[in-house]
Amino acid sequence: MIEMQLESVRVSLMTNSQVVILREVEGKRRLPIFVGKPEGDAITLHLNGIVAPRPLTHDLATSILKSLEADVSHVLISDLRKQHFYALLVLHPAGDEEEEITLDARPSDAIALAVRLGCPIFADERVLEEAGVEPVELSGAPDKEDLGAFSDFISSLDLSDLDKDK
Amino acid sequence: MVEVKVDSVRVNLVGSHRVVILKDLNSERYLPIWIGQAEAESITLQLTNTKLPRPLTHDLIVDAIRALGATVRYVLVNDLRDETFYARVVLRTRDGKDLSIDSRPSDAIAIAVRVDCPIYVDDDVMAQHAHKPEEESAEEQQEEDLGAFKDFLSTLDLDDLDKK
Repeated sequence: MIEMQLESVRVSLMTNSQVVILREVEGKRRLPIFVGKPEGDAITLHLNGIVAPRPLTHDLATSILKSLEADVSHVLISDLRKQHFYALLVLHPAGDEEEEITLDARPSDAIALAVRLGCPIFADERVLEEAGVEPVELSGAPDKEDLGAFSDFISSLDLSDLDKDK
Repeated sequence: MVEVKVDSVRVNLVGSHRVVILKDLNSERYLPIWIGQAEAESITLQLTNTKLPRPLTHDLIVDAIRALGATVRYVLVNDLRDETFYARVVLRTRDGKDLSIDSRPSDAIAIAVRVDCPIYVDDDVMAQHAHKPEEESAEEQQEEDLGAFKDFLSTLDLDDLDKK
């Protein structure tokens, strides 16, 4: 199990879908997970400290878990099958460290609850190996060729009448 | 407290609004409550017994309540202030203690239909905001319903129907 932290929630402007990016706490790998809009919103609102006038579904889930004195130890992104991520909510009943309850959840719900309960988020090593991505490191000055589009654009500009604008 | 059941979940075709209609079990009174799209879907999927491959948020909540040895006694739509409905989810813990938890009606109803517990509405809320269907004579209603068809029929030119 590898501990992850929530790096960002990104919105695709084209499709309205949202992606949660988890980042390895001790490493560079990122795990992008597509989530539904309501779940993405539930995560973002909480992270931005926005308190909705009425409890959102995940706020209700959190207050139910707290009222029942459940001790949520962590959430785990446990599996990836057929492009679907699976997650588990791992908790102990009130005053019972011995008994461990694991609940099947979607990663989006697990993460929305983890940020509210302040519990750690883990990912299974195998899942990270399969779906984790490492950011590409850029070193030194950019290649001339990479800037080709910009040079072409600049050379197409007619700058001769730049100061004649009045 | 008035016991109600979910009569229907309706969709406004313009915009993403949904409305859940609660019906008084003992009389012809209906209480409409505007709810969000996600919650409406969650209620509808459960009422139509649609099994999804992955648990929805309300499924997870119900799983957690059960796994912790608690039960949902009932849910209650207890107030309406500034055009916002308020509800409570009433749980009984493993030790027999009752807990009342603040909720939106949509979430409370989505939980209630999953555990099959009673749904109640406060007497005053029901008295002030429930609708009774308008009484209309059956014949009058029928005439009105057929108006569009009559209008359409009268626009048809049937003269050349057999000239083929």
